[in-house]
Amino acid sequence: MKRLLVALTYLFLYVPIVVLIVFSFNSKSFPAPWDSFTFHWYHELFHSKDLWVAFSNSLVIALTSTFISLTMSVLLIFFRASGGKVGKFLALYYGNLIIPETVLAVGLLGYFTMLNIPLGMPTLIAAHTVLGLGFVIPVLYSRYVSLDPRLVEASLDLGASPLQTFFKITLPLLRPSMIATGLLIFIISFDDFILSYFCAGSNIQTLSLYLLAVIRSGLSPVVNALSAVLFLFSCGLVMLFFSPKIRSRIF
Amino acid sequence: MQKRKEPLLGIRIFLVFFWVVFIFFLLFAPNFGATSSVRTLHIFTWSDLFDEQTIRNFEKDTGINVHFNYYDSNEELLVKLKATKGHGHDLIIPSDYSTKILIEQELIKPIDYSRIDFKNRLLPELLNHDFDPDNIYSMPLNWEVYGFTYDKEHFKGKLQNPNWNHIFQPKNYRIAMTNDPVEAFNMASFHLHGKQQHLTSSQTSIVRDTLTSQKKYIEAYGSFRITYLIATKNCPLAISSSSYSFRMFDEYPILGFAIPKEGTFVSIENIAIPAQTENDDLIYTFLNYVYRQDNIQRRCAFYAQFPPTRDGLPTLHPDYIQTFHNALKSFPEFCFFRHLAPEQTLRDIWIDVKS
Amino acid sequence: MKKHIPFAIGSPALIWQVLFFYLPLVILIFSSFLGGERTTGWGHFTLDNFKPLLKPSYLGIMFSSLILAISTATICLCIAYPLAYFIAFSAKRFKTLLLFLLVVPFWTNFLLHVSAWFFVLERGGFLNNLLLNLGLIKEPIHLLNSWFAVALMMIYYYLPFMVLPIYSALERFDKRLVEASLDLGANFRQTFLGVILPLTMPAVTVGLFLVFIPAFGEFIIPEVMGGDKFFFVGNVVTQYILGETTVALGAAFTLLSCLFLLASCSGLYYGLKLFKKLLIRRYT
Repeated sequence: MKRLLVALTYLFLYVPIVVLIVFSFNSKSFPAPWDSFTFHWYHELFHSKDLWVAFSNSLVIALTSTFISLTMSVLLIFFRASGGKVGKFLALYYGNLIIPETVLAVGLLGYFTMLNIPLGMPTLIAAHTVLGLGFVIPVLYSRYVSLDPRLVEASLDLGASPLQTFFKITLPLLRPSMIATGLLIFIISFDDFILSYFCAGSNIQTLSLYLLAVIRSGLSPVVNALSAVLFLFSCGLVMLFFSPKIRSRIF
Repeated sequence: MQKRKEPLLGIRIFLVFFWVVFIFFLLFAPNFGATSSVRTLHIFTWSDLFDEQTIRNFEKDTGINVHFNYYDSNEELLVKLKATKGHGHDLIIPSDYSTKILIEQELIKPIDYSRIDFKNRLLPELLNHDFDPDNIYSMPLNWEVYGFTYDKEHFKGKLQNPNWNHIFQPKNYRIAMTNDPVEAFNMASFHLHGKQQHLTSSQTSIVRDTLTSQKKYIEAYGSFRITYLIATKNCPLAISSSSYSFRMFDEYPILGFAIPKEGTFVSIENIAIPAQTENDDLIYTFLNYVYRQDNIQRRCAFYAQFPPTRDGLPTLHPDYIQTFHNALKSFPEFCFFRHLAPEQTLRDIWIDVKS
Repeated sequence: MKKHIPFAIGSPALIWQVLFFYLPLVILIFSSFLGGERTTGWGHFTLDNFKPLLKPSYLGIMFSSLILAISTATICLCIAYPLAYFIAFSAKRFKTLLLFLLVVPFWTNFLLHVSAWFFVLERGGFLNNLLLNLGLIKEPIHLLNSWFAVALMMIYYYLPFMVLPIYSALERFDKRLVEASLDLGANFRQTFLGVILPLTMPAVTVGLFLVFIPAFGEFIIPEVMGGDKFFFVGNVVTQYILGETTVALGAAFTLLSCLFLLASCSGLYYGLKLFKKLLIRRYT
């Protein structure tokens, strides 16, 4: 009985996506029923310039903001490792959870407009980095604090400089968390919609905004094909996340 | 202890200041690489006006680069233009009522008609309206009318006697309505009070009530999904612009289009030159190119807009051609969308209706 | 000089947060008190922006958002907890697979899920065609552009947010406590309500807030799945902020909704604390 309910739940989660992917091979566009197998929509997908521009924009923004977030949090931990006091300031990052993203997006829009900063790629990257910081810093910091201090002591005792200790001991110990959180904020930024809706301006098209434009004007089989591709992409990322090295340290 | 703490704080403040300046420098960076040696034309426009083929041909024939920025609504155009005080663009495409606002705010400059070779081809019906008398500042680029897109199967052929009651008091079916508060308000007002310039507050109240009572007949609000909703049999009738409708006629043969007999709205997209631009050579070359007969035909065929010249009419679906000629004949009876009440009131009413 | 290097390179993280999170919010609060044209200077201090918002319709919208968020969170909890329990306790060999299957939709773009549900729920869509072909219905059921579609999509989207924290807590749960309770004579229901639930309350709270807060500000799901017939806090904010002359009004409404949200969150938090106390008192 329990198993049936669980199976139903997973069915609920997966039926729409599977149906969407199956019909991406349909030769007739929605709302026609199944006709015959074709790769036509995939062909169109890979030739749609707008879509790829949007996709690459989203990718660039996600990669850059993930990189900046991770770098800044590592540097913050370095500051802590060198004896700085960070504890109280950590509470600053909890604001990310309390404020809905819509409020942040609206605030940023007003902020950039008031300072006459042109809305575009840099502003989006700045905004996504804020999103990422809210996750990365609390997680990495608490992970750092829970590391065994004796390892660092031992390393210093054995003659390594603080810098060497940081790079050869601390960072490798933090690496699984870094990779896991990095993946998480990458995907959050890549799929993000609300920040782009308000802060992208009219010149940058991100993947989410492109999809929204398509959905608002009806459905297109190219979106089916795109969903199949992105689904595989997500599967790949999740498999990375679940690889044994990392999984044991998260759950 | 006092002595050592002071420099620490001072240095930290300096470092913070340094980082803030650096970060903002990065944010402003795109502005600094602007001057390019290649001649570039910057056009700020709707996303469905210029088709790729025409632009590519233009770039090849003249060597001028064209760079587009897009906006989704007239409000966005106005806000962005005011924010940059008109800088950054060489051409903009305001709709009728926004042209008037732009003229009042002195954000656009007069057109030098001595450099234009197509003025006599422009349809006289589109010229000399109250938002820009004598068309000193703007020229019509495209136009479209608003009407009912309907499912021919449901209505068993052509829609008989189309009138505004079809969307305000439909019999036994649901409709799709526009999602733009200005359009919705204007339509309800026209249905109730006819052609008006401004409404009194009691008239506004009646409009609010009509829109609220319309809600029970509505399947969905959506300006872009109209044809999709009809094609998927979600509702048999919707109010939409002619271009959105005719664009999908080939794909969905069950669609029909009809203009309400009491009269309807027309929307003219005008092309205008921002006051601060200095690329006049490029601008007039572009204008003369884009108004050539073949280019007008291609552009209007792509997006199913109505052309600004009679010779620019593409050979599309017969309904499209029929509607074009009928609309031109009834043009004097049409009205434009206006801010019949202040924007705040319009949006407030819209929120009322939706909640 | 060298000793300032750590601060020099560590501070950007903090500076960034202040610059791009707190400063914009502070400016948002200030701009809701500003009158006059937005782009022609600072204007003057005024409470005028709040006056048009004191109508019952705006309060009604905030309550609608509250109801939407609470019901989404509650239903998600009811589905998520048993699911997390099953994965943590009962699924021996398939645990990784089940988790994997749970996370993948979570990591796919949410708009694709919307397209997918369109595809399924449409009048001529998958579900209706299936039911028609099976002879279970005579005419297609009207599912989209309704409350049902909005609720469905909200639950679909927010479910993983609820499952993962609860699963985390259950996974680390000391199963000997359960054994001890059963050994001491309690039946399953008593064990669950007296031992498991109270001890996993922190995770349940996290899950509830992870769903409640974003769901409160949600506007795109009601727009696409509900035919834009229902307005929530997010829709109103969008209407005003993206308008030409109504930005200050938008800022004011955002401020009011945030205060409302904060109040609801405190209510929720204390409600949960009370619930936990009651559970413990009742079952121990």
